[in-house]
Amino acid sequence: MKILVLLDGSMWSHKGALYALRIAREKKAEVVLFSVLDKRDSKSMAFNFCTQSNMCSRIENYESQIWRDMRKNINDEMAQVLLFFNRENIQTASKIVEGSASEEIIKEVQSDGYGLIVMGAYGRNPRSSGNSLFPKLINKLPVPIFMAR
Amino acid sequence: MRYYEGLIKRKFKDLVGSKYEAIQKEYSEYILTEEEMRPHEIKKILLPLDFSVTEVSESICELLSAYENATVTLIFITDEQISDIIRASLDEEAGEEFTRKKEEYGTRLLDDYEHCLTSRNIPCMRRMLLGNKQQDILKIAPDFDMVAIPKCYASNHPDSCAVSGDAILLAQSLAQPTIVF
Repeated sequence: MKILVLLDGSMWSHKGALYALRIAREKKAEVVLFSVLDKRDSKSMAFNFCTQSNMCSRIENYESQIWRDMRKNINDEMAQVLLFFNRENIQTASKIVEGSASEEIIKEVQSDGYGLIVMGAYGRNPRSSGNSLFPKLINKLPVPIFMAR
Repeated sequence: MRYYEGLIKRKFKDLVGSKYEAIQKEYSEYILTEEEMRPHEIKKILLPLDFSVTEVSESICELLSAYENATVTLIFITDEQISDIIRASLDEEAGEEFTRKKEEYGTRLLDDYEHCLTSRNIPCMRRMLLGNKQQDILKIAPDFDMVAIPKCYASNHPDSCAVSGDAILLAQSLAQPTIVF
């Protein structure tokens, strides 16, 4: 069995990784930690910041700095989760790709034989709303999806 | 918990002590407490079924076998509202016939799922209900640690097993970890 764990920087996705770890331990499964960085996120954050701060002359600088921070944060998170899985002797790989989250995840699942996807139930949204990725993935993929809460 | 501490230290490394607690309180919609961060112990699993579910998923039985000592409760729900409409628009007998046929199907499906689970040493209980496919699950679910929902549950298109709006809504409304398969 192969499990795809989606990490988006939210605490829910971290909790998902902990659930995945338990399943992987029981089923002797292989795990891939997967994260997608979307340039549109850094663009929209930079735009929001420039309009709030009235300093739009430097918007390109903000965008590249936010993008660098996003990369660094997800690398740090991935490294921490990976360490946790390695300590448990679970065969684990990590992948960070750039693009649209749903498209990249669908591509990844279709290109490899995954038996389970694990994700946070709310993404980076508040817990009163759902993870907007979930309906897109469940409609396109024939793989069970575990939503961590 | 070392994992939680590491996560908090990295995410809020510029904050200390009571300031972090104040932020945690204010932003509780986004931040999990240490207690919430701990995965639930999965002992009781709810697996709803209905007429739209046409096949037994061997892969979900296999996956649920990862939860040692967990009991799966299979529940087959027949739509009471449709039964009432048939009763009102045709007659009592037609309504009963509708319910009887659905429940016959339900019994077979429950048998098949029970076999799929017990053959993997997963203890299992079964129930048959006449009720509301969405509301009854939301009502029952708090008694369980996890819910596993077939993606075509309550789709009313049994020939295609298309993803149903009810399955998506349930998966997004429940408070427990949920597997949609």
